[in-house]
Amino acid sequence: MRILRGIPASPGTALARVHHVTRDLPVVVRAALPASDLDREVARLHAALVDARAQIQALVVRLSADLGPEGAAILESHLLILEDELVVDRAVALVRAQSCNAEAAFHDAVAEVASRLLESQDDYLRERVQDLHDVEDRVLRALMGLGVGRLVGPAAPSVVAADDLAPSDTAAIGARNVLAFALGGGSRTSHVAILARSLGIPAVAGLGASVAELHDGELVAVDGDRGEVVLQPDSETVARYRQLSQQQLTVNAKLAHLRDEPAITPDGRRLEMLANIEMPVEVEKALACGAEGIGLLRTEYIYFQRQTIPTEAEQLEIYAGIMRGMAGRPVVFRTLDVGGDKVQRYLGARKESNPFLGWRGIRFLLANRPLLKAQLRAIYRAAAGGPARLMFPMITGVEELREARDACRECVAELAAEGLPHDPDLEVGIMIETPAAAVVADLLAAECDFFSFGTNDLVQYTLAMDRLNSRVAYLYQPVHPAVLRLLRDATAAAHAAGIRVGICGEMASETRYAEILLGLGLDEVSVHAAQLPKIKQVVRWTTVAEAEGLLADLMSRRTAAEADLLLADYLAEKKRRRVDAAPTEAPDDA
Amino acid sequence: MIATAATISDPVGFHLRAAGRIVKLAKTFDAEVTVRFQGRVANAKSIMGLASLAADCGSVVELEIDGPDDAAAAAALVRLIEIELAHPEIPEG
Repeated sequence: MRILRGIPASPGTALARVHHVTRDLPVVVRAALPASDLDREVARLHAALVDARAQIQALVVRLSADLGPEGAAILESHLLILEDELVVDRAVALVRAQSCNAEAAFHDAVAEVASRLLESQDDYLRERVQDLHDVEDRVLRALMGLGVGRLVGPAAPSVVAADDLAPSDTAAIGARNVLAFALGGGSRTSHVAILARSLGIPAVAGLGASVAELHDGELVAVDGDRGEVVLQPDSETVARYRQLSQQQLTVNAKLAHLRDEPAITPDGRRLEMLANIEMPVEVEKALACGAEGIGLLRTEYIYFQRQTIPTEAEQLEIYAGIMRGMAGRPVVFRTLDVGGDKVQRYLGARKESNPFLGWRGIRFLLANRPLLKAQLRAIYRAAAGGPARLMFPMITGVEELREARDACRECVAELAAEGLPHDPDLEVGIMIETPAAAVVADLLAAECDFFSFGTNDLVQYTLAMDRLNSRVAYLYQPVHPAVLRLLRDATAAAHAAGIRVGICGEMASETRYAEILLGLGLDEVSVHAAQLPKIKQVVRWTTVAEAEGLLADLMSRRTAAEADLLLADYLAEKKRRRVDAAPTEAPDDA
Repeated sequence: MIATAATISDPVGFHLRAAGRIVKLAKTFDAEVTVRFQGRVANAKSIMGLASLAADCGSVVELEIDGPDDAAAAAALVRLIEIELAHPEIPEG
């Protein structure tokens, strides 16, 4: 057994045989030519460029159906590269200057541009070298008469191993029979990683040369959460991975019987159960897990998975598709929440010494009005097709909310003037994720339609701890008295104003905190779809009186450690009682 | 020859899509258009050249336009960079 370590590029695990895809890269043979042959070489190059152009145009037509507008956008940029003077004119000049064949000249021209991109500080630009080499490969094949040379996907369920996959290869392979990807190159931002995440396929990238050790037909285990590939797994490892997939099946079976049941306490309090999603493809899974709506659509992934900012029309297409998929159920669109751990230079954000306190969330949006308005217009228009809601991130006070709502009013007025279908009255809410927002919740509640707690940030900002700093990670304490007081007071402020309040942070996904949410009196809970049945089970077993009693006990503790201990004892006791009462229905407290 | 400057209004800066729009417009003129940013130089008719300037939203790029239709090219390119790029929803031709 041998463990290869790479970069975790897409979560999940898989155990399957390897399907190794290698692309026989065209080998460039350099030839010195007499001056009389150079015109012919230039003509060959132009003919190859025409061929390459025709191939890409054919793929554009095919991909627009398979991968949506993003796949087509990649290939459209390839068409522009085929016309780029830095590539084409330079290659022609090199044929003449070096008296060499078209293959060698084209290869050299691409290498010059690639080295220029690789000097950039910008991760996004460096990744574009992939696109250049993809175009190069296509042109060289046309020059050498090698045929298209595209890859085919595996015939049986497999782990697809490759040095790297070019963007157009990724599109060609698709998802059929791919249980996982194991890649020599790439990173979390390469096309294949993004595609894998959007399809829920585990992937490990950056394995380097060791990817050659994954031989066709051999059994391997892939752990996309840890970024590991296990070669020749021993029987224990095989058993562990089988158990992981078995667990998945068990959870699925439990899901089946809870899916259509409401989350209702024995004494009749109902909690709305919603799912957090990032990609349109997750809608199906959310519904399969029994989601009554989408409580948090993180729209930044729709931006990050693209080379350029999505236009209003492209966003509308994606958003309207989600509304259609949810068939009349509510969808909360959180506007672009860039910054902190998600800074992307392509959106104009710069590296900051203190990104979590920097230019992010609503601050970034209000400073980028065209970007904000394109997104708002797309959401208002999508709302014509169902109950969409709008949510602003990182609000610290009433002035930001007012400015954001002004932008909403502008969009509504424009859409009305343009005669475009939209819902002018869609609900507008905010994330409560800064202590400031929680403290002035009464003022905010008077000017919006709902709240949703973002507990990851709320805990981090309240306890002044950086989640990414392992030395202070112990301070991530959702039951710290300061956090519990903010949650309690902001919930009370919302209810006093007659607006709904929910939660969409990690805290909601953990079963151990589920009774606290119930005790707080929250109206809705939004979690990863897979967690829905577990949270639902807790709600169905707990009375409101019990949950309120627990919360009161926790809030009487003076330290987070005491509260944590109390919670652990309470849950252990409760589990013991339930096991005694109904041994066959022991809860899964994963 | 005309020398001028323009502030990039595209929220994402000179990335591939914005660069593509500039290339398409620049190619409609005979004039040569050179773009300078932070010591780097690119031809406005080259998508990889413009992209590798890595110019962000709000940066000022210098333009040098030389040719028979330089006045018209300068006006159109400044308008594109300063105003039209801010409206990504306008369909590209």
